[in-house]
Amino acid sequence: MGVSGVSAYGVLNVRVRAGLGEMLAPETFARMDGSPDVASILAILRDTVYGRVLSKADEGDANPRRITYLLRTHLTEKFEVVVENAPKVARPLIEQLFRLYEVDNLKATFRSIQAKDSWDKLSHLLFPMGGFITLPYEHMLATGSVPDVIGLLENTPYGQPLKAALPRFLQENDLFAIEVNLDLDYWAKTWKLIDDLPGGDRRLAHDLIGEIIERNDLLWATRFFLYYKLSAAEILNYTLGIGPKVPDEVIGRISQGEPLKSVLASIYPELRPKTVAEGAENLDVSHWEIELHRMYFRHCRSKLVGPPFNLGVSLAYLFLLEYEIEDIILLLEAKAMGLPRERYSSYLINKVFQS
Amino acid sequence: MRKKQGIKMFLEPEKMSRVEIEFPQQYINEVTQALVRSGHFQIEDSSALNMRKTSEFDDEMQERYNQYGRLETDILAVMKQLDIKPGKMPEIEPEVIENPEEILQELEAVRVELGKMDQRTEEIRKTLENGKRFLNIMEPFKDLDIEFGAIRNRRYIYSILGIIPTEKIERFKQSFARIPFVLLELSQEGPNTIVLLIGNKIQQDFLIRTARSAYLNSLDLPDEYHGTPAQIVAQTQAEMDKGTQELETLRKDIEALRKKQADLLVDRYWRVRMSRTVSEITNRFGRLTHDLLVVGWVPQDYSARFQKTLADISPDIIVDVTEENELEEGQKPPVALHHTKPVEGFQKLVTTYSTPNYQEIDPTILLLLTFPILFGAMFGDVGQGLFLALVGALLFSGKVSKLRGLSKLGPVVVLCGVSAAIFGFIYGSVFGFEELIKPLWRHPIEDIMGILILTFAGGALLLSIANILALVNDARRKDWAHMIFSGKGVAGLVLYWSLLGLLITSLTKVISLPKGLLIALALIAVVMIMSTGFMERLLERKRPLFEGGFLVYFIQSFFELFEALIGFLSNSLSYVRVGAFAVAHAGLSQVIMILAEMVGPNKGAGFWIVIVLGNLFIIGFEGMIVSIQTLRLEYYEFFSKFFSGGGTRYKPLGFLSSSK
Repeated sequence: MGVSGVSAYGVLNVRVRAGLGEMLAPETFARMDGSPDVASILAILRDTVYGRVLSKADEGDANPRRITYLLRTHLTEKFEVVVENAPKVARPLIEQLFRLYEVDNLKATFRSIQAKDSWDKLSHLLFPMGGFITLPYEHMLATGSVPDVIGLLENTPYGQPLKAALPRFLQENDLFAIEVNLDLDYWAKTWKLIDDLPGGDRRLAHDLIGEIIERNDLLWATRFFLYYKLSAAEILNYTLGIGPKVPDEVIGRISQGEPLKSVLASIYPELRPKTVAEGAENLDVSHWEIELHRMYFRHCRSKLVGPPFNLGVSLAYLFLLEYEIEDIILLLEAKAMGLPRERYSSYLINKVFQS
Repeated sequence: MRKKQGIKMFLEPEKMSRVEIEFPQQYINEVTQALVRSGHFQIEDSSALNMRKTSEFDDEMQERYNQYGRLETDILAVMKQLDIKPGKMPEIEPEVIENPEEILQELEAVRVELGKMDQRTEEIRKTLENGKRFLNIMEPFKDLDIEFGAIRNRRYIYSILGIIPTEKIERFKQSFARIPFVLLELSQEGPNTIVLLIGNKIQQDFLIRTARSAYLNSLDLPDEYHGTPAQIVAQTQAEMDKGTQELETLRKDIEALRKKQADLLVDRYWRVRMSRTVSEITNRFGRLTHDLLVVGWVPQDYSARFQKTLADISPDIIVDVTEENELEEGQKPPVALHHTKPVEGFQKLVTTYSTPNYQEIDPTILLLLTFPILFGAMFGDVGQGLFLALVGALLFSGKVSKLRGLSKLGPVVVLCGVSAAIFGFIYGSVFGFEELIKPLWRHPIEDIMGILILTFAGGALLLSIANILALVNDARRKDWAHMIFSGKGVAGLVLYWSLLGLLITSLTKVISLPKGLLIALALIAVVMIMSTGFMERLLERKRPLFEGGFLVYFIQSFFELFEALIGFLSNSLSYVRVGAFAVAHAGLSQVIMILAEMVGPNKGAGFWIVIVLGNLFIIGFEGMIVSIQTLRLEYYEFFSKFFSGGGTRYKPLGFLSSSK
């Protein structure tokens, strides 16, 4: 990365570094972890960068749903900052990465339609979209019909995958086909967008986003095999196989019954101590999912050192920020339910909790 | 009421008489219809006077009311289905329905006929929708030259004809790596490809599941479809054309039914609505031991005719009329405000403050006279005034549908605009240009002190009028002590005028009044005001005369006097704002001129753009502020002196007053 990298990423780097400086210190996480209740965590958070978004919650509506929403608005705002300051060529990819939350919102809307939920209930489940142009969720819910919503979204990026899944929905009255196709389409498009980036950024994006796609394929394939009892052919069609370390051959091993532990040990050497540890064979998929996230967390942290003027630092920052926020939310929910530490700590991603 | 002449008819509410009607319950329909038909009777709820428990008769009346309600809903539903509008109430009064069952049967006959047509229409619509959907599905396949029979139900092979996202084809092929298959890509349809998948019949389930996982949506045709896609499309199209024709026939049948039944349904609708109205009113009647009792109000002038109408029904109907001067305490007649449409806007401004009570002056006409003057004095400009008048005329005309709700305010805006234009001539201002016309008086900004003194004097005049009106109201209420001695009575007025006289004599040399006399009058007024409480108790023969002891009385009276003096001063000074706003208006216009000259020094386009925008700003923004100030002066300085409100509006029974 030469002079052009400095000019393209100079401002963004300053903003991202400032954002990194605002992230919670390990001591703050430790204090929250040791807090007896939600109010104590909120008191700690009010003295951090989250104080501003939390100030929007009045005393009366400081419930976990509202707090979750407000905390997530911080991530939305940071996405907006990164998009605004990123070089033009990188913006479509960053916007696409934010669109993942839109896909989640879309899925939540479909589920609410099926469950006949009210807008009040759905609105609390949606990820805050801030200044990003998004879908008319309330109107979609008001139609009360999944096919109608699909018709409504015909001319959006979701039109094609939804239309392809509609016949199956009509036959099965189940959102499985819709949700899977939305995911496949989203990640396939994201992967294609990386090709538009210049050389250095392209390599970094392949590296960072490739690992997400690999993780998705591994977990999807395992779950399709274990819980849905799908055939190898079906699993292949329901996965992507584009992650560098998880080609069709690896997906094929899972669909033939090879345990996830063994597959992970062969493709991710850094996970080997975990996979050979005592009792590792008894861990279920969700535990390996956490381990994969923690590995990814470390991967993102590693991108913060080295040459600063590239897209990798910004992407890593956004992914780390999401982990931070989701960890806070998990802590809040655990404290709200009065769970002991051993019940929730294994689900936290942040490094301070990684033994 | 109509006989009243002059300004009095605008200042006083109509005289009302209280009426009590007692009649045997057999006349319930005749009496109710007479009350409603009169258009002058305001009913009071007498059901609280019931002297008997609920009887069979009451239950029947309630059930009848509910029945009418249901019937009205049902008729409306059928009318809606047939697209029949109820329109306005017929000129010939609709008859009350004695037997709702008959109407119900008539309605049922229409409903059955219409229901059959609707059901068939719905069936055809559904068939057409399905056909349309099927044609959409077939659209991508229509050019294929394949005989569906040939690929269906083969003995050893299983095939799926369908459409798959093109991007999924490669992966789909890979998923079949271990079994024999043939995938024919027949044609491209946008982002999708039409394919024919052929495999071994034994692996049918596997083929279906894998195809579904790749989002290969198969074209599942019912067995009755044979031939090529083009032939199937033609067959479907023919069926749809047949359905469309039948739909058209049904539409004509429904139209014929509509024409045939429209008059009957509209007639029944109004009769039911009338019956329900009458029925609802009867629920407000009081039940005496044997008779029914209705209590209400009619205008005094109408009372004789009203009694005769009821007497004509039966001599058994007893009508007891109590005239206004015989009313007992607590019996408050409703207030009939009878202003013409152009005055309704001002009436609305009055009722927003409060509805006048029966014993006081209705200030609507006073507001009509003073409001535009105050507004115009603050907003004096010929051009802007005329523009406002035009806006007002537009509002009143109701030609702009979105502003129709404001049409009552149209005349208020017109009069304010005209007044502003007249003051514009007085001040010599046209759209902010001060040199276009010669002022009849002078530009406010050139004689600020002059206009402030003038508006102070105008305020004093208005306050004096308000005080005199308060005296009239006291006289109407026969509250003599308050009228003569209080700070709002004669004593207050004498004190106010004496102080004004002293002020004028001291500050001007033009008018000279005897100071000694003025001081003597003021002192007498002070003593009178301080003795108000004492005099009230004396005249009302209440003891002790000094409530709470003389010292407490004296302190209390002193502060009341002090409050009255402060009130005179602050209320009078409040009107100075009229002059201040006139100056501010001129100042704002000058600012616009300066800005316009900065933008367009040679009076080019920029100059005129700023002038137009500036004037619009003044009309909109300052116009609103001036309106608020005018309203404030009217409500708090003027009305508060003589107008207490709290009256009840006169709302005579109408045929449809109780409609849903």
